[in-house]
Amino acid sequence: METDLPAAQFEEFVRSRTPALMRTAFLLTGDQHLAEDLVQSALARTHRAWRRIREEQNAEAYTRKIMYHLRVSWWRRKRVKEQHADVMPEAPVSGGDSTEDSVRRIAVWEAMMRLTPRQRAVLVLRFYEDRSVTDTAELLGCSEGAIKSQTSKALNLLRTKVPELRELRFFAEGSVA
Amino acid sequence: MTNPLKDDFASFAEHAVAPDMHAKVLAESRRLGIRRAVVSGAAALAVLVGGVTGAFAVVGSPNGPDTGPDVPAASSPSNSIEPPPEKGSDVVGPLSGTFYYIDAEGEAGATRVLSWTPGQGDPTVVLEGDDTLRSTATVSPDGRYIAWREPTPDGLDASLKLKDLSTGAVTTLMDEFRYLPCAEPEWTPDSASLLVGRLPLGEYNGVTAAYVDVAEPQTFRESVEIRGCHPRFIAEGEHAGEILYWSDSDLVAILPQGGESTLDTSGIQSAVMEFVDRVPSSLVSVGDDGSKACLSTDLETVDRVLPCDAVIGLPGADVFMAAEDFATSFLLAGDAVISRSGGVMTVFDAAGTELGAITEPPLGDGAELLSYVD
Repeated sequence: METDLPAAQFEEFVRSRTPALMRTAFLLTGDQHLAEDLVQSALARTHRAWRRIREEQNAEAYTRKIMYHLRVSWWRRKRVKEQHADVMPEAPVSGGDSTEDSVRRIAVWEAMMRLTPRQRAVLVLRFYEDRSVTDTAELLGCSEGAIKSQTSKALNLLRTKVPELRELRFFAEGSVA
Repeated sequence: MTNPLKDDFASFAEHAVAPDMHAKVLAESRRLGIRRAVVSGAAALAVLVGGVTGAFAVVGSPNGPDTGPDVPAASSPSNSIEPPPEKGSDVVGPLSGTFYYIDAEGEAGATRVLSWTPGQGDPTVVLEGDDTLRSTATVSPDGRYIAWREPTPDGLDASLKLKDLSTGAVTTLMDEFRYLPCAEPEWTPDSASLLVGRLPLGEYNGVTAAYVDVAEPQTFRESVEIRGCHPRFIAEGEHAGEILYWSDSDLVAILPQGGESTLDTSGIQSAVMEFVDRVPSSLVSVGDDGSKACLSTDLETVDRVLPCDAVIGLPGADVFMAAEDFATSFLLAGDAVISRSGGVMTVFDAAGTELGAITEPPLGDGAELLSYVD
């Protein structure tokens, strides 16, 4: 199937944006291979819609939106299996972190992996990508009220699992409520 | 102040390795193209309708945001949207009944149920209470009653209340009423009984629900297992009296006292995903003859969802209409489908032909459409 856009332009998009997409996908999935699958599937759909996306100049936003939706739908199909899986992806802790940071990050990671994919996606969008409630709702295809409630639940769970986070006033708390 | 969570996320994310996946992406895109061509051929026609009443797609093949370059969007002159009527020209032939809304505009933010009949003045408050009205208030199909859960003054218990909308008389249908968010009170089609959640199912996501007759307060009749949430009745036709509910990721049809229905409800999740790239999460309503169900794709919640954004044709899983965003919602009104957006309700018949539009009265920002009673 030919597209109007030169193939080289799509290839350039893939090569330049894959690292950033992989970083987000890794946070969403907690696993390098799952993250690769997710990014690949999202980019394939971007390719299918490339003509329209090029006109709207929002290829990365489109790809990210697909990525979030795919992640949630994959999980829904597999969630019974995942709910009974005891194996948790190993926490990716850097050697350069202090012991205190490493311990906390392992706890944060484990708490993150216990969130539902939607809750995880909400946190990644709000606190990694610094998206507003409105943007997050638009990207996940849900209402702003749902984002606020999911954010609140996810943060509460993180605080429960990571005592160190209880002392911190969450920067965006005001916008969470 | 440093955002500790952002720092942690950034630290985790740096562990992701970015491979060269261009060739794999193109291969998967080709596979998707083949699959889509097959689906598209089977569905035969894609119709995309957009306009002043909000963006939504009507009947046909997948037309979500990832429609491939080989699947052209089609248009349908026969379904083009007319401009909405001027304010005041608010009567549509087939819909002369009453709409019910819920808002939180009462005194001190109290939740209210309002009724409004086009052409008959402003909305009227028929009930006011706490925010559980939003989860439990339900108008009987014949329009005579509204039922709801009302907490006792000490807040420790609650009752199932009934108000006769013609006389204003309020009675108690059930004391010590345990409300289960997954199964709010639901009227049977004859308006004689309510199906209410009684006990959560142990190993399943769902409830044991029981019938309560208006004529026999304080008494639970037979019960039925709902292995999911939000049971809704089919009022007429081949499957009259049967119950539909949402279970995990499927729409399930059962007989009135349990047992498997012959109504085919398979494939709905994938059909909706294919159409709008969102995942259905809750059943909101069912058309009178059971030929349509309206689903929500908003984030999952066990609580009742009032707006729905994907209308499915039954049996099977044809997407009849689906909103592109949450600014548009639908309401099943008898055989008609109403699309609500920006203060205008556009009415379609069962086949998807536009019948006209109704301009809503001034309502608060958060007003939600609860139901329509003919």
